[in-house]
Amino acid sequence: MNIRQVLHYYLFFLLLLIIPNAYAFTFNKIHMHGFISQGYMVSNRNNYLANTHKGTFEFNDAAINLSRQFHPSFHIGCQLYSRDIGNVGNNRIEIDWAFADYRMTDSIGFRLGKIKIPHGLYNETRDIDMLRTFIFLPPVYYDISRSTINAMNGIDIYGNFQVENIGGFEYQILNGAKRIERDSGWSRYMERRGMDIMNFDTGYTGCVKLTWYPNIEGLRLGGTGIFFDINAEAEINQFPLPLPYHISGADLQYQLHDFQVIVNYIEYTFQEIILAAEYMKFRGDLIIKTLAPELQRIVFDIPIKTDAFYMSMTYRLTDFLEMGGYYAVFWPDSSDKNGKTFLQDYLAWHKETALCFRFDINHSLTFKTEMHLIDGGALMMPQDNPEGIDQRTAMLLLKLSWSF
Amino acid sequence: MISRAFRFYSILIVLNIGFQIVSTSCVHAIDIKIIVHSNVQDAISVKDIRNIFLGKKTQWNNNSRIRFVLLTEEKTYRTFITHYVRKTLYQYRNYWRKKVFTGTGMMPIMYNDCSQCVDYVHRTKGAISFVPLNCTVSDGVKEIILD
Repeated sequence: MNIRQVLHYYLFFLLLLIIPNAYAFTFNKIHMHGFISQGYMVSNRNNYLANTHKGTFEFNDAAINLSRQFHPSFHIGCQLYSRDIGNVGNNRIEIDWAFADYRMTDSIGFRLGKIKIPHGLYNETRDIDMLRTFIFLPPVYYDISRSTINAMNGIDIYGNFQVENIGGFEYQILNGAKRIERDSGWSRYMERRGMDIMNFDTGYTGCVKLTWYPNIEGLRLGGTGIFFDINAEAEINQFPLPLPYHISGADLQYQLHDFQVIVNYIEYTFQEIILAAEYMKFRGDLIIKTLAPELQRIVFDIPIKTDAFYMSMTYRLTDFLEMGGYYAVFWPDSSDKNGKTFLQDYLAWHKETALCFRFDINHSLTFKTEMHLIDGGALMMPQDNPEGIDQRTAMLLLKLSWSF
Repeated sequence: MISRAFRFYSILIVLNIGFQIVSTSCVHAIDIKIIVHSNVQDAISVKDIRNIFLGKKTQWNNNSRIRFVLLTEEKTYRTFITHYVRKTLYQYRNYWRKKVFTGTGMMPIMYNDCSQCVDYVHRTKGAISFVPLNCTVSDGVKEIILD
């Protein structure tokens, strides 16, 4: 990092620190909110999501949204979002969400446009650092899956209702389609399997969410499901594959068939303490077909059985300080949790312990520091670690966010 | 050294949690009254209040729209949110910020002065708010007693 970059970051932090509480702008009944955040990551062994071994500032995001209420039951809005995390995002501006929302009654409403996907408890707010304790959400929300489960185009039917003696329910049913960019995190995930994605073609996407609020104060539990197919064309690259399949040579057609992401969750809030646990299952068939006409067609059908779970606890000590921790496990192939078929057994899991401190300097400005201890290489990218993946990694994260 | 620091912070956290449990279980007089526009005829329960201020209940029984307004004067705001909505002020703010940043809702209307809240409720059909007990309520606004 040269002196100019140091000065750049110094001025950025100085600017944020001298700004007092900021509030939303309103012009002609159009409300504008936004945030900007800058982080720093450093790890002791493996590179994780970026070039973290040497320490990196390639870890920022920003968003701005506009919304207007035309009637108490009808509003429209959109949010532009930009981020950079390692090789993903590169601060390209994208439409994060944009839709019209008509709430007919409490029990039924409609949204039309690009809508955030309700995957688990926190997917819809995964990009909004100041709304949570942690810098990195657990691997149920793993960063590279953002492009796949962030948002979709379509229609959302939603509502809430009460059932006597049982409690309250909230539901969402989304139907539509989604788009995955070629340079998305998903492409990077496929790179680790030795495939260089040329283009994506995703068709119908469906999603459901049901949350139950039983008559126990502070408790909510429920589940979400996402259902879709992915078709892609890919070229083969040579990487140390963590799977027993090793293909090389011809170009491929790649299909994720009957892809399902199911998450079950429970969250309990007791005053300033929030306990949460989620269990996620990825299921589907990865079908790989060779395309080169001069070669005999080879078809691989690889069942996907990926599981992940975490347990977390956060506790707000004062208006200024909050702390939290989680323990999370991710298995890329849950039928082989001990890595018997992997080149190195520790590539079969990713076990992560995180501890975070969050400081609310004022309503607009937060600073967080977070420590991660990672055992396993299941989520380490071979392309980021060309000299091989170590079993254990420790990582320190810092992040400053300003919102209005 | 690390284990000593760990023990110290663990004791600190346990004491903090204990203090919070004791402090919230003590009986406080709630110096707040709930006010509505004069056209609101519904009987309202504490659960309704919670659902209204969380944006889950948006209609009165005659299908007219509920319009709630927040008094952000710190002490009243914090007391109301803790006792009626059963969230901390921090959790409640984040609840609405989540709606704003996912597009699923708009920030509630907020006033820092109780006379502005009373005025809003007075001129807005279906409106509801909360003010301190000593706040003067004008004609066209009525105080309600919860079921």
